[in-house]
Amino acid sequence: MARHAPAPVPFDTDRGAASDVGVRRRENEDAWHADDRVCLVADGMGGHHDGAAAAALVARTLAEQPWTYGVDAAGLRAAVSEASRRVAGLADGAGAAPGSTLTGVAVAEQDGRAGWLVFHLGQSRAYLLRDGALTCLTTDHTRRQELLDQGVGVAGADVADDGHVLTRALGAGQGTAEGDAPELDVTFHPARAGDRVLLCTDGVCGELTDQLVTAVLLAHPDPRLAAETLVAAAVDAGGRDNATAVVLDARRTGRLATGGGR
Amino acid sequence: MTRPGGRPPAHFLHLPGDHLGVVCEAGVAIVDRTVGAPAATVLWEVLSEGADLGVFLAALGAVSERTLLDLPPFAIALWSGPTPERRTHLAARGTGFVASASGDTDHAVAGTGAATWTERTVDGAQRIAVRATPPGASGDATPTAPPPALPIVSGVAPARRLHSPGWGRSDAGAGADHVAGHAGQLAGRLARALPDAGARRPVLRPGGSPDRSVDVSGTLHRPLAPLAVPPEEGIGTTRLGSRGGPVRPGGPADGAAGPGTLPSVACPEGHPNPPHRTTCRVCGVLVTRDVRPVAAPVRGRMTVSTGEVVEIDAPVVVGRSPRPDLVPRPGTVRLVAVPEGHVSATHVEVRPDGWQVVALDRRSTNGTFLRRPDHEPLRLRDEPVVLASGDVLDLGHGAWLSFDELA
Repeated sequence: MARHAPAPVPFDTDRGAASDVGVRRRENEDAWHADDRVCLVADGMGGHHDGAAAAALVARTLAEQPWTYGVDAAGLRAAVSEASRRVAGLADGAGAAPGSTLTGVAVAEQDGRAGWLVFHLGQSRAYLLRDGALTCLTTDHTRRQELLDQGVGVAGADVADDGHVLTRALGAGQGTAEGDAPELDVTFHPARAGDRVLLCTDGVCGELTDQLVTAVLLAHPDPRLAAETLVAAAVDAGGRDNATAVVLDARRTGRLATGGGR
Repeated sequence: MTRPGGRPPAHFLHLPGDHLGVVCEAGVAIVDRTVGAPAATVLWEVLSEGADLGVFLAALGAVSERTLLDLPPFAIALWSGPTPERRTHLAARGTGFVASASGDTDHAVAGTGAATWTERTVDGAQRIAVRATPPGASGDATPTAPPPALPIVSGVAPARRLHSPGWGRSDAGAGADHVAGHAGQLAGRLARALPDAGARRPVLRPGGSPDRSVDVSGTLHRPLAPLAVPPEEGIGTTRLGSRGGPVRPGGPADGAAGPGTLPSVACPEGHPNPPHRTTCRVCGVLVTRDVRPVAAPVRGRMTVSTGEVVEIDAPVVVGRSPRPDLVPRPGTVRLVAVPEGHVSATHVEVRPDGWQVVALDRRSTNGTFLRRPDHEPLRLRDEPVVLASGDVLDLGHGAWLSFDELA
């Protein structure tokens, strides 16, 4: 039976990634994946049995999708359901079910426009660096963020939760074997040549100010060097959690060179 | 050791110099002389209004008309609450240098070597020094007698170094010691001349927090500090036994209640409640006024960061791998494992005490901090503290116990 050739990638990217266990944890429970179509970070849930396996399984499930017709929200949700089922299968009854967060970006096309399709579940983050300014494209799924959304001041929200209590994640008892996956946030952002997207776990964005993240991304044109420098800065800043960063750049050549305004 | 809930230094000492020192209640910074006094004054205002490190960095860029890649050299320490161990953010760029010290841990952040700047977060910092140049740098040499270090509580001053009182003798310099020593003599003279001067000192209270607060369920939260000692009497509480000894619920004072039982009122759902309550602590509806003895009711619910939920009807021992007591005590003891390296094998104990739930630290290595809204964090000792709904016991690094449905 003939396989469909996958749809062409809407535009080209350059990518780099780095990950470090940090100084306080014994194991790196973060996973990442970066190819020309889909990049992601997954943060295995701390304190849960086998969080590293859960994160790796989520990353592998997304990486294995054929994306025959390109990446879209429905395809991402189906992949996340599958990942959720597979993570639920890791539970062995010995401890709390393992879990993972998932934050990623796909190079996609929507209504004839090429762009970044951001998908998100948990407290890792996706940022867009454009014209020297950093914008966060995701909303943390934490109790702290919920309190902030309800109008509780930062101080009050910090007392109630310093960002460790997740309201959504894959596994950890949230998904079921029936594929009842938690809701995935999916947003589309038209791309421009020169855009840089950063995916990072909270071991990076939780340790560094947005200003330092911006400065490091601006200071290092090579995406791999930028990712490595960010992770090293996060470990140096305290390294209280595993730190992982994926950086991808929209090339200034090809389709976006003419289609993108700058 | 850390000073839980320790307050920032009341003042800093500054060594006059060419650069600009900025001191306020929330932090201390030194910025390069090229920033200029007017811009430094704006930074002082921004910090005084409670800016975090990110806002300071953005403000520094704005007032010095530089981009993030071209900021002037600086060094800063900013502390933020309310976290268990006062959390301090350090950052330095260029020749800037900042160091912090607690009882047993020192941190130094140098700006040199980073294309951007360097940030670090430290817990429990007790003393801080910010410097325009690293220790031992040529510009730091003091060929003649060092200038005296002068105290500053808040403001902007020409400086090359600012440090907490009590910063290392060699680091602070002889001049600082001389001034501090002389100031001590003057304070002694003042105390003799004005014997009641000490009594007129304002008593500092944690963050202006109210002595009493009432939460939406109508539960009266007693002030946190007095709770550090076990209350001898509480509303609806019946106590038996001595401090630290095994506490058995119920007792003769209950009157109608037999051993191991507590006088209770119930809601239509049958949830037992202490007699002083008018609404159910679980479902919020009105309770009956019939007081009946109930055997070992659930006093509340504890949620563990691992996801485990424990109903508190007997003592609970929490730790990395908690062991039962060597000397067995009456009744059951529940063991709850929090398998994190920084958690002590036996870390903290939670147990019912009459209708109340109390917690005590079991001499853990890294401590247990009680976090309660509107209160400064309290480090638990091995003396029971009464918990309230909404309390969180923080074992550090994302390991915690939270409490609700407490009586």
